[in-house]
Amino acid sequence: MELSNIESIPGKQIESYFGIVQGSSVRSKHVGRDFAAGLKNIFGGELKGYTELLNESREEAVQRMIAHAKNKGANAIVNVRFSTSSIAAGAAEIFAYGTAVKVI
Amino acid sequence: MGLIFFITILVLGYFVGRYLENKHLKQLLIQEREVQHLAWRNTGLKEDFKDCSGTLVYGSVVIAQDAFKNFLAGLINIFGGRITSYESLLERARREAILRARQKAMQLGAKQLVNLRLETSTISINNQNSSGAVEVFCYATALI
Repeated sequence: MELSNIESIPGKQIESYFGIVQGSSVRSKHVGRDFAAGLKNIFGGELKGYTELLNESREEAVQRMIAHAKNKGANAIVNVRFSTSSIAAGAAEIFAYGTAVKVI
Repeated sequence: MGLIFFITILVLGYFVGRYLENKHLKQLLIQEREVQHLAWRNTGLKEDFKDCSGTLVYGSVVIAQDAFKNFLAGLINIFGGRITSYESLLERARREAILRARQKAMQLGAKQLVNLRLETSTISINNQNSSGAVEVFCYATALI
């Protein structure tokens, strides 16, 4: 499954369109009573654990979008966009969407 | 007693925070030099690229602000104005996220990055509303 965030797949021709596909995952936006993060909040710096966590979350959202596209019989997704939105109670939804196409 | 604790945290935050920030900025300069030949732009959405293949690449980072700068931001919040203590945080986070996307593209042997987009969101720590941690996510199409 090829992905791109422009309206075409470089080097390929789009044969047919299958409509919008999407995938999302919800993650807690609170780091909670994590001691290491509490320390980092005094000294500053990258929260590596949380970067990993959000990366995994995003990967999951992308995998779900790919599965959705496979179901429709597509072999590529173009114009992939991401959106992160706050949900109540400190959770964030990572949402990936794009247009599923068949390329040759 | 509580005041002494608070001031200790601020002083710790100030010195260690400055040290870590400068270390990060130096690291950014070095790593950016390694990827500098990889061109990147945020145009290209509707362009047709022939004679190359491409794929989506992305990079992200979560960076927390130190206690001293958070305190400073709280003060500025009373009087209004530019919160310069957060501006440097966001600048660093953006540079790091874009750098990671470019590194991923370089690993794939890409020649350029097109349609680069950035997304920023806030992270809270320990149930505070504004703890000064921010996530920047950068995604683009790498042309190989």
